[in-house]
Amino acid sequence: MNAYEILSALETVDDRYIEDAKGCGPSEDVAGNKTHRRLKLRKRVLLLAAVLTAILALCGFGIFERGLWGGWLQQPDNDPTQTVRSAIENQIDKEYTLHIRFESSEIDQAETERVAAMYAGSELAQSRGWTDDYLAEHFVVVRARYYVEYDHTKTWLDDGEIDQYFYLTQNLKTGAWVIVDNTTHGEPLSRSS
Amino acid sequence: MEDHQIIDLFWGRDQRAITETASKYGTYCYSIARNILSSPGDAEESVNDTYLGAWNSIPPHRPAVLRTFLGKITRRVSLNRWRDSVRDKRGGGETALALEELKDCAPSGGTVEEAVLAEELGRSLNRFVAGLPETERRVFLRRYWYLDSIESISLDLGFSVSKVKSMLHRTRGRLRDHLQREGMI
Repeated sequence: MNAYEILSALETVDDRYIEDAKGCGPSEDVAGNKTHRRLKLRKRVLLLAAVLTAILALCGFGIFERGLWGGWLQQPDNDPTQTVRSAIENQIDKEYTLHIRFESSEIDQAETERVAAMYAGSELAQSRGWTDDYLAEHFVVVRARYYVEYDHTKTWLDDGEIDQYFYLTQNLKTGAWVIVDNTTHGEPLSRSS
Repeated sequence: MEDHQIIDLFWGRDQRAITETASKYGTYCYSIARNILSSPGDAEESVNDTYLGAWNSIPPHRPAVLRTFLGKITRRVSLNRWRDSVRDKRGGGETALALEELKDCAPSGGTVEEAVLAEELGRSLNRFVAGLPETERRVFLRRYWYLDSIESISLDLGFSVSKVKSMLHRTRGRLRDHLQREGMI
């Protein structure tokens, strides 16, 4: 008996063992397994990327929903000024807010027209699905004033009286107004003592 | 197409059996042939011979697992072709390396009558393979059934090359002991 006979006789090995060995991944690639390994590696990378994307998306959605990381903890209302009010008052739930006092919120018609005209026909409006007609009817700018104090170990925002614009669009199905943007926090009108 | 439908085509002597087989298992058979034979042309011929072999053996056979049935034919045809090519000084590749590795398991020529030996040897090897731990069995068959290179085994199974070599070395030692115990060598 020689090695060749052993090699030949291995042909009779039970099918299930042959299948099992094959199932754990020998190459079917004609060029010598490299493409097969690359495909496997690519699959693993894509799978990892998909998992990471899903995790990030979930985290991002959670953060957005909770209004963390600069977002607003808004409660969309059919009155846009009430949506803004809820967003301001709910800022107290953010870990860096020590105190907040809502003072006023009102639709600023002039600013609404100016900003709507600015958005009209823009790429940004297109990307958000805002037609000119939609902007004319379902977009408002609300001007709000409030007083706030922050924990400065956690945020760079200044304390004091804040005068800020909020941009809202209306959900056509529910009629509720949602904050989609706002002017930067900016310089407070008056600083707290 | 499902395997049983392909087998039915063979039984019905329908030549579409060959095209369906080639479509479904051509790459699989070629990969086995290519591991054994260094020449792509020889490998292609072996695959064609595999289809012919299947055509000639189905019927009367009705293989339970068409894939391994074809794989076995390809392997046999390719090994025969490899042996012929060695005679013509054209051989080499993984088969030569695998044979060199297995030489220690069968150090000398025997006196047992060949036909009996082949049959007994097959049964003995089956017992040996069945008794191997799962990982060792996979590595062993990847190397000596599929004739995959050690590097590709290590990459596919996530082991280092040295670990695969070491595993194969131990398994060959066990094979030698097994064959000695069973009076095969």
